[in-house]
Amino acid sequence: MKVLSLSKLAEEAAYVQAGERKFAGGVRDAEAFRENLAAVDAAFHGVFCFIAFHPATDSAVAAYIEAGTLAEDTGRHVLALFLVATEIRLPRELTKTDLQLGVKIEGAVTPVSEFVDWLFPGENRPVLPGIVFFDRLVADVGTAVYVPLTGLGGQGVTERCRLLFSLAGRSLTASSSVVKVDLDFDSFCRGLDLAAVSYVRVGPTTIRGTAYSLWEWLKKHRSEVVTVIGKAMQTFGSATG
Amino acid sequence: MEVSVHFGGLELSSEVLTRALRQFQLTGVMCAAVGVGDSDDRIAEIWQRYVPMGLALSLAEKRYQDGFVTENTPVVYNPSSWHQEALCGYAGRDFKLLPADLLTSHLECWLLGIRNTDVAADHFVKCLLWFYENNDRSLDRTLRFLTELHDAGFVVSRNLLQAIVRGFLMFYSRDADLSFMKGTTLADRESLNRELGRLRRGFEQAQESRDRFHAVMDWLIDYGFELAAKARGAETIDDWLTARARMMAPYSMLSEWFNVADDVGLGLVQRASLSQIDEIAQDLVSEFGILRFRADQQLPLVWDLDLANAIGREYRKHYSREEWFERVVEERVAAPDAVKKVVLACGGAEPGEVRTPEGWSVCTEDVAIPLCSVLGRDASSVRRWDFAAEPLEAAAAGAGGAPEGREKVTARRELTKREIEMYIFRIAWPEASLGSDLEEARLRYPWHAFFARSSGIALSLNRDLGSGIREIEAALLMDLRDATNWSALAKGAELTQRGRDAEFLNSVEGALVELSGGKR
Repeated sequence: MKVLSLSKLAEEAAYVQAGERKFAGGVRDAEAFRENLAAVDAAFHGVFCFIAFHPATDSAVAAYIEAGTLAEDTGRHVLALFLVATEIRLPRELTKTDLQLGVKIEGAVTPVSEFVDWLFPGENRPVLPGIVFFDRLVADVGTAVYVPLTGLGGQGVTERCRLLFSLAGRSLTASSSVVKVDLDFDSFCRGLDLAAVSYVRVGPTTIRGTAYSLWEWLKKHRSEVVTVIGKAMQTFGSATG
Repeated sequence: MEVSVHFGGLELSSEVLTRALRQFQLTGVMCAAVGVGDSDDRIAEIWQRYVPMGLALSLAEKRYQDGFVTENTPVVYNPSSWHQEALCGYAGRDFKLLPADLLTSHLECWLLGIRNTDVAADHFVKCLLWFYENNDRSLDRTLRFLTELHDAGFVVSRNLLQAIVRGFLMFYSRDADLSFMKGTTLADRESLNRELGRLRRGFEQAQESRDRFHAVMDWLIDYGFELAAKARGAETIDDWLTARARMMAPYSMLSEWFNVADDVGLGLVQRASLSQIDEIAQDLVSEFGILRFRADQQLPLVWDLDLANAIGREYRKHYSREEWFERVVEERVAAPDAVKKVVLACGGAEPGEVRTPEGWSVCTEDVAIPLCSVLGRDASSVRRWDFAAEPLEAAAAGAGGAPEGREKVTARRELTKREIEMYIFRIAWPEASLGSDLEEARLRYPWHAFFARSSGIALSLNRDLGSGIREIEAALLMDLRDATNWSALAKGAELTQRGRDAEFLNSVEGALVELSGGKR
């Protein structure tokens, strides 16, 4: 499974949006991170999700990512993000070492806990590991749903993740055509209720009450957030040979 | 996996024939990377160069039956010489292939590819669909097969690769019922053509599956980055140039998909990935354009970091002296990681200052011969360095023209001719030699077969048989048509107690002499 830094994806998204080719490629837009992320918001049709885990203690989640089916499981309308130790500016295979970000930090505030603390302040703060589904990167996040992955073994994590991505896939709405696709959070939460999966949902009021915005967190950790490249590789045939 | 042949008891001959076969296949890749136009002439010239290889392979195959082994060599059938039931597959895994059949498939795919892209694409698409239906309907294996056919040099032009992908997509994205192909053989060719034609005619009514379309796009994008990773991992200049050549047609094809991303509804991740690929594709176009320019100007065939330095100027505005080159290599695949390490070990440099490390400028005959064949250059007269300005300008002025005009090209050609003649004279008449002439000539003209062979003989006479044989082997790969190269290698085999090899190589030399009407 290949991964690419969100910062590079955003640079290219802005570059594509600008519609002009330059000799130096997307590099000129490297500083315009906020604008680049806005281009991702505009161009991506679907929902973002952030897989929040600590590589040392949440080994089952790390193992699920390493197994390489994330791209296939999420489908084309769920953009999965997670943290790695090095910036990856040309898509390449994810390695075990890549997932070791913050593995040596014990008891301190990791980028992952920082993210979850911001989105779910005070009493809402859920326990790691888990997956956060949210709707926007730059503009204020409207809705976010956190689904914990706690107490699950290796197979349990895989099954739970696949269930969540499948529910998200079934809760997508196409406004007038397939051009714009969004996640219907109400429908998604109903699906979670029916599947008896616990979750924490926060809306605009809670999120706006915090001083920190998602884009600032992304700016701080822009080199570390990656997404997966390539979807549905195995949908129509075995990937052997 | 690279093609390889092995004949029992013929270690040296197998090695040299494997290298020749790889050279031949790389020529096909270079055709697509550099472009050979639509005339048969260049293909005919290339084929002539490899006739002795075909002769040697057929001789060995007849004499040492069951000796011809290819390891998972992808191949498609040809209408003229094919002894299999399968339409295509991996020789060595799916069936045993005669050397003549493999070479004929290459030649016919090349000729068809440059004469009529659409007809050639239909041939490949039929084979791919047959492969798909007879290989568990695995998209992954089928696309892998196509890319391996390209890597093996069957796809002679960039347009052809795009036409094949579009043709395959037409069937695959409509989930066409291909069950009529299951278990069929080449004997069913007519009915297969008929059924495929019928399916094509019904495509306007058939619903296209977006998911199936995206699956193909995702696979191809992933493959694009796989090719980039291979290039970055190159450990020699040969591997780097081969990997770059193998990138050209797929990147050009993906670049075209990037240009129609809106029309075909590609998603953000696909577009962003294709945007990166498109950027690298433009670099590749420049790189192969520079090679063509150098060929036209009779300039040395060297790889340098000029392009990386040029791209680097913009990167340097954003990144430090230590960082910019790393970024250029990582994002633009403008140099392999091994070169990056050498450059960074020096503590970084400014754009324009980065120089090609030792051993990375000049490739071996394994790559130079295919490249020169396609560029229409005589590899034997390609100099490692350009002439100094003074004699060049004097020669150009002597030709009556401005030193910057075409006269400079004529002057280079003339100076090269004179210099080579001088070296040949001195090497052939040792009493006229200055002693170091052979070493100098070998260094100055890295792909001149006579200099390589003479060097091999000199080393062998100095009892360095290992190095001597390597030089003679190089000479043979520079010029397979020269029977003397075969007999020289036969002598080397004899001196190293490889009697079976010696006997075989001598028989090839004899066959070649016979073929040329007894002229040695």
